[in-house]
Amino acid sequence: MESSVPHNLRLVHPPPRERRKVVPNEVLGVTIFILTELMLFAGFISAFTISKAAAPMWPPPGQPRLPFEETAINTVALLLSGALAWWAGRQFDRVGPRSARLPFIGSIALGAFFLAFQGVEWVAMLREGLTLTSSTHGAFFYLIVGAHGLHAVGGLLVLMVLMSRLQKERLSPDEFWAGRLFWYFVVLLWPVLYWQVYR
Amino acid sequence: MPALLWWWVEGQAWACSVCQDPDDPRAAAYFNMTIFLSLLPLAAMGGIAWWLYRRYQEAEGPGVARSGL
Repeated sequence: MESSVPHNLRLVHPPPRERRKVVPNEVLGVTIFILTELMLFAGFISAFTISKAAAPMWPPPGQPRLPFEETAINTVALLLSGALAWWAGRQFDRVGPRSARLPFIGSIALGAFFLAFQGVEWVAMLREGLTLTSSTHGAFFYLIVGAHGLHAVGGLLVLMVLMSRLQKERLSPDEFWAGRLFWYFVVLLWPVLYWQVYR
Repeated sequence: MPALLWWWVEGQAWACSVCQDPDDPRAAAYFNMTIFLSLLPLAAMGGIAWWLYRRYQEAEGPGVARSGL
């Protein structure tokens, strides 16, 4: 059937182009959250560095030295946890959700080991007399390492929720990516804090 | 007059709250941390902007967008 519109007046629209999402909303939200958390920890590190520089000796007299060597093991465990989370994400994207399960369980287990190790370390430090009010050293130790520990607890809870959804095959790639992104932040922040506070 | 002021104010300037003794060990820490806290948000925002731009380019081009992380 011929159109009544003259040929030279017909508007030709190009076919609608498929638009892909640049960054999922979940990931962008977590990224902005991480940015604010980064500045929080930057403030802690800044205050700690200035206090340490002002002190005639560090740790202050009568205060225990932090277990630098033992915590190195814990640092490696947390870095491995991050590497396994990255591997799980890669498997999820390239092979499928089922192949992501094993590395993701490993990542959660190493994260839990990190937190348990820190708990044991805190008990030992308290027994040696390092408390929140014993010195600036103690105050900064519990503030900075404690703030990171709280983030690790939160991150681990997120990983567990993701694991539960992964088991039920109800986990979307975007949710998985956003959850892992927060865990990467927790993992990559720790070596910086470890080097600044423990050495 | 400026010379007179300079001669008179110079001594008062020591009372400035942001001026420090350069031999004070905290001076270097203050200086380094000022630079650190000034540059970190710029670097972080710049990094995110660059990453978003790369993602945008990938989304516009051929292929399937992946998390990459």
